[in-house]
Amino acid sequence: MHAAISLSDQLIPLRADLLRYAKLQLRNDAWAEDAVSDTLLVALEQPESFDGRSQLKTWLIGILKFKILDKFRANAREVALPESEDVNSDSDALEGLLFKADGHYATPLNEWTDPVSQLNRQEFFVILETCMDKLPAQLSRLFMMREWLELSCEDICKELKLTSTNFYVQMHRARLRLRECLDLNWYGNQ
Amino acid sequence: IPLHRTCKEATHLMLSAQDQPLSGRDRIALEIHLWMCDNCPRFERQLKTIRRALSDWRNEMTK
Repeated sequence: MHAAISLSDQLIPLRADLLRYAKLQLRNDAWAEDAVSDTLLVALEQPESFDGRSQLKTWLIGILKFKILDKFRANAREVALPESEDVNSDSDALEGLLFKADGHYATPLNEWTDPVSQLNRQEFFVILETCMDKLPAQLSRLFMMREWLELSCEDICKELKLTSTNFYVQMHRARLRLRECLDLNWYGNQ
Repeated sequence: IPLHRTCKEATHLMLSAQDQPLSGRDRIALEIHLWMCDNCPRFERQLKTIRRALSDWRNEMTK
């Protein structure tokens, strides 16, 4: 009993971090709240499965990842973009700005400074989070499933019932938009 | 020149390579383009910076 009380005391200050992590992935406050609540419930019901070899937060994030995946599965229709979303269109406005009609860059690309110092890295993370927030929610979720949950393309397509063509086009757009946002806000502020 | 690629095509190849392996032909065409182009190697470095930052950011949030 004492161990359970002690654990719940330790969980309270970690809840905000878990919620931030879940919101970044799910882009839906209600789903994120659910996923974090489910995670904390598992932790309180099965404290013996925390063997102390890792940090408590690392253990909780491990549980949370599965809960986030459950949310993706339960809301697959809303998570994925509809197949009809002009996947073969080559007319993304962004590409129109980047490239001339002959397929070469309209203006030279900026050379970014690598955010290697600790201060620069923290600043870069803030801008990165802002840019992730600016991505359309569905693009952002796909991108995070791939980059943060490190799911394979095949697994994501299977979970969300996406064709590989649709998936690759959406990832392409997400990466291009993210790069553009970072170019404006990271390089632009240097 | 069958292996000629424009910057737009090279950019598409670099973005595709983030999620799936390129064919031998595409990989060679991209290498040739990167060797001759001033802009696309910058794009490639930016993609690497983003990928590394995402990984560092994730590690920071989970530790």
